[in-house]
Amino acid sequence: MAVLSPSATARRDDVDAGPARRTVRRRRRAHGPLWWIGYLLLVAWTVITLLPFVSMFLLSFHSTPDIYAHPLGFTGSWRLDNYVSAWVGAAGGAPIAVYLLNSFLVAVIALAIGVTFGTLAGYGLARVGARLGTAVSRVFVLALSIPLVVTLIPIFKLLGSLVLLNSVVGIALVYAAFMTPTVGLIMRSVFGAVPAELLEAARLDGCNELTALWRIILPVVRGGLVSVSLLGLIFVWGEVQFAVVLLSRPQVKTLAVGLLSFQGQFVSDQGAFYAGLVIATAPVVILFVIFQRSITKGVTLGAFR
Amino acid sequence: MFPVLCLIPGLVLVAVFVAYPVLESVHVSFGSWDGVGAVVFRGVQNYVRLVSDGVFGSSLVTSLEFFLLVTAFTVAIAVLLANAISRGVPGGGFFRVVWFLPVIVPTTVSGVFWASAFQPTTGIVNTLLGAVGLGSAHAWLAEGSTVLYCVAFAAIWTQAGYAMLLLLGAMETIPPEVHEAAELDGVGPVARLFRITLPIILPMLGTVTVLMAVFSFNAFGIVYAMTQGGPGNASAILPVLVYKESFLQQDYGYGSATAVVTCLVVGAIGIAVLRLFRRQAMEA
Repeated sequence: MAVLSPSATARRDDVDAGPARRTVRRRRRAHGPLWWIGYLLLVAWTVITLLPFVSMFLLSFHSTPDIYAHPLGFTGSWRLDNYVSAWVGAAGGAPIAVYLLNSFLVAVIALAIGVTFGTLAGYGLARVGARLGTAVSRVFVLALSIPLVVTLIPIFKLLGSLVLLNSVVGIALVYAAFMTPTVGLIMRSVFGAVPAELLEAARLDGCNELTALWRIILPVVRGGLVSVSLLGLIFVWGEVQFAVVLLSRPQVKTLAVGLLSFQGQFVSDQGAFYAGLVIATAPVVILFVIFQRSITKGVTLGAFR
Repeated sequence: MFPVLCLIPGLVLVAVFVAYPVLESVHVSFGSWDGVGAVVFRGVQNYVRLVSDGVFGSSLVTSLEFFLLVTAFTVAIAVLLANAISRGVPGGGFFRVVWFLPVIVPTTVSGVFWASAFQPTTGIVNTLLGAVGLGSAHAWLAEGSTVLYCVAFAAIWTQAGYAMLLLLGAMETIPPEVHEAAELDGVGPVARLFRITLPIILPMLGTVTVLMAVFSFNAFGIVYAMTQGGPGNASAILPVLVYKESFLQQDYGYGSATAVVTCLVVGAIGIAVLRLFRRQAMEA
């Protein structure tokens, strides 16, 4: 995980950066001491940013005594069996494979519902009249800015009465609901950029609007769908507050909260603990490195509505 | 007609899992509920109790301190990072990817990592400090006086990349000619940041500041993973307190009242920040 190779994506990035970046680039001149101090600070922040990734990765290959003796992780004997111990899990908790599977299931269900409903809403927002569009957008923005904690107890109560506590489906519904406003707002700007003529053309061909949306518009906005799905996945993968409350049985915990019990169970096996952290982080980091551009695009679109 | 129908499923989902819970929270906050059965109405009793509750008071102060630290540093760092990339520093494309990485890491991973990094003797922070002769025995997370700074640091670490990306998006809309003209007039880089870049991106700066403020009040994950609010309640920001009151002490009515007040505090701060930026924008 520490061996990211962003250079390839970075280069692609520069080509697409538009005239703004290129014109700035063109100038070459001597830099003063102030510039170098500033640049050193950027490098320092980069080191701080990368430290946990590198450190987790290195420590995950060492034994506990080695970790205590060399917390930097560059020295000591190297071993792979930490990953085996982490994968199998410790007494009193579920194996990490179970947490991974739960996170995966929750993500699939939450994304299926949240992205579908959110995309439909985004299409609606882009096509309805200005007044209704603004009103519904306001509702979505409001829903986004509410501190999660205020919904915690009622959602616990609600899922309890629906017998959906400690259930993958229950928490996925909650995540889908909290994903919908973001997806809706991002997809609104994505649909807004699709020319209305495209839809008209589809109608002339005798499609009804739903078929037109499905067959003609959705393929055009595929990039946007990838962006929102990835953003949703990152949210689901890391969410803690609902997961702590709604999932208390080890067998149903998602990775994000499973790791917390993991921490307790592996106090005496630090290497396995770090291996667990690597296993939890690797999927999202790999996805990010592959889809870096659509993720960052989604983030920017979401804030620009 | 079809576009209006499209709005319905999403709105229903939001109504059931966001709007209804907010209203229900207010309802529960006026009563007592122990996790089963019906809510017993108790009037404003929970709110009266909040006013004289020292734990709530100190948690409110902790939250405000945490919010100020995290928001101020996140926005300041993000402005500098975004400015560097948009001014075309060498390696900008690389920095952009790396600086965003912490955002995608699950908060529990960042939380437990930084918690172990701040451990006395075995943590990486003390090891590095020890190497430069600054001592290696600091019990960062066990001391009430330092714990909040450590948690705030971890929160800044997780959020800065997000703010950076949004600000960068706004900065890239500034035509390069603006900067070139100013440079020809002999305006230095620092003056250009404060007199050209920041005034132009002021609306986005406002949005980002509000977002970071809301995030800092939502930072349950990082605090819970690092300290669970401890030692004592030294790092218990309001959401952590709500969790403890409700789900550990089964005092859901009181927890709800705390949550409602949290929501009002966040709302007030959000509106205040937006007002502040709007006024600035009008003066500029």
